[in-house]
Amino acid sequence: MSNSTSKSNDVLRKGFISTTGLLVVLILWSVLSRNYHSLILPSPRETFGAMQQLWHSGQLWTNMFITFHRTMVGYAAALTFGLLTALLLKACGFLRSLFRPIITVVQIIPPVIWVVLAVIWFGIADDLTPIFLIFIVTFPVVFLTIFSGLESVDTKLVEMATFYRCSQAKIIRAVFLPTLVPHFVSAVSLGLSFAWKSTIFAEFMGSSSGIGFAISMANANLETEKLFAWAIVLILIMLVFEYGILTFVNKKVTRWKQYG
Amino acid sequence: MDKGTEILELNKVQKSFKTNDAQLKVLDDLSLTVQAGELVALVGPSGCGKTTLLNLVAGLIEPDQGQVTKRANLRLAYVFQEPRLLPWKTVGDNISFVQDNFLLPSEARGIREDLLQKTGLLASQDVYPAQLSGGMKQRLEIARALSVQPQLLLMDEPFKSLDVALKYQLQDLILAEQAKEGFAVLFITHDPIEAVMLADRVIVLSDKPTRIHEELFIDMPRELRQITDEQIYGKSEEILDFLLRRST
Repeated sequence: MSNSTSKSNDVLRKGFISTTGLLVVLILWSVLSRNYHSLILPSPRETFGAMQQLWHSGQLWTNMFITFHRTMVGYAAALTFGLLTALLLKACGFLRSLFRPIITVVQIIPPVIWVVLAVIWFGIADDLTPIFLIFIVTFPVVFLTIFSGLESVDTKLVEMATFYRCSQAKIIRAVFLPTLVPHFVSAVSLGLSFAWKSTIFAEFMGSSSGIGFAISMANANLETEKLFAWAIVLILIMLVFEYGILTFVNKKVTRWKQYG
Repeated sequence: MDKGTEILELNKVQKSFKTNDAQLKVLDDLSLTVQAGELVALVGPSGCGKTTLLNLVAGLIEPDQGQVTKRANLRLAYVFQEPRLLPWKTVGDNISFVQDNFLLPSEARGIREDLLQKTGLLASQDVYPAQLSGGMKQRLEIARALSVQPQLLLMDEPFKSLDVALKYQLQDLILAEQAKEGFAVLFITHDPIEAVMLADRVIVLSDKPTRIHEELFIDMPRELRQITDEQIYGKSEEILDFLLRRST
């Protein structure tokens, strides 16, 4: 059997197992929901109905756009700042000693503390509260992932390249960047997951718009089927990012690793 | 470059490294020269500083005292003890990565393909190092070093942990390229027979702090050397005796 046939069979087999797993969950959910009131556990049909309602009322797209916009702003800021800080701290020992402990402290503080502080500082009617939370939660994750990538650069390869008279620019391009790329993709992926969760959390706790706010409204109005509908929307968005975009990019940029 | 011209001189070189609680003197007042086209083997007890010596010549580290003088624009190549290949570059690209710094693309390509052919890697030029066996990686390391057309080739135990057939094959390749291009070779080996069969001169190093214990000249054309020959056997035994005395 050729390699490509066995590979595609493997993909089909894995796809079949994953689909079966999801179907089992759906069946279990459906069976269990018959035994409970929809306030406690709405059925898949009720949840789907709630999703249709969100779609037709325009709430789905409006809230998704607001949440997506906030996430991207905070995330882009955390990614840029995380990358630049990692490069700066790698290059300068003094700054490394000064800022590493501070970044660790920022990472240790629970998001709930940050969101309460953000509400006090920025109020609830503004984009700033969720954007601040996304940044403060995502930045340390991005920084630490990229910094560990910089630490993992093989000095023996740098030595080899220097010996063979490669310029600094060539060493950065051919040795540092390829080492860094998988870590950067990992930082992008991890960061996005953190950013997305932070936005929802911040909107839930201290905002008057967005998916998180819609969830808090559904909660207050005891519309459990809407809670489930939003949860499914969030899961779908993350799956599209994770498997549709990031996994594809990761495979492309680390093709050489598949042979390791 | 005329054979016999001095291309490298180490003059009273000293090198120490910091350990936990002291300065460890590795090389002490070590002086040696290498001439164009000469094959010099470095033999000595384990951990005596042979790699340090090669790294000093390569310019990867600086001496604490003394001078390392190389002829102006001397082109060096280094076969490292463990292959230092870029895992994200293919076999061919690992070679062109270093060739680009010394040769024009038009001239580099022919040399690269010739060396890939000679090392049996031509069919593998588009694969990544992770797909190669240990022996293939070492062949690539040697092909890469030869691909820059060096005037001095440094090799740190280049044939270590290779199977016998591959070891002889690579030795023949280096000797053939050396005879054709006329570059000098300074190489480390633990094998006294390998040293006397390949080198024009064997430098036997002492324990740390390392000095030159003895220099042996192998005064016989390489193609006539046999291990059963009295001179060859005698000199390899002499080196072996010294190493055995140091390890007990």
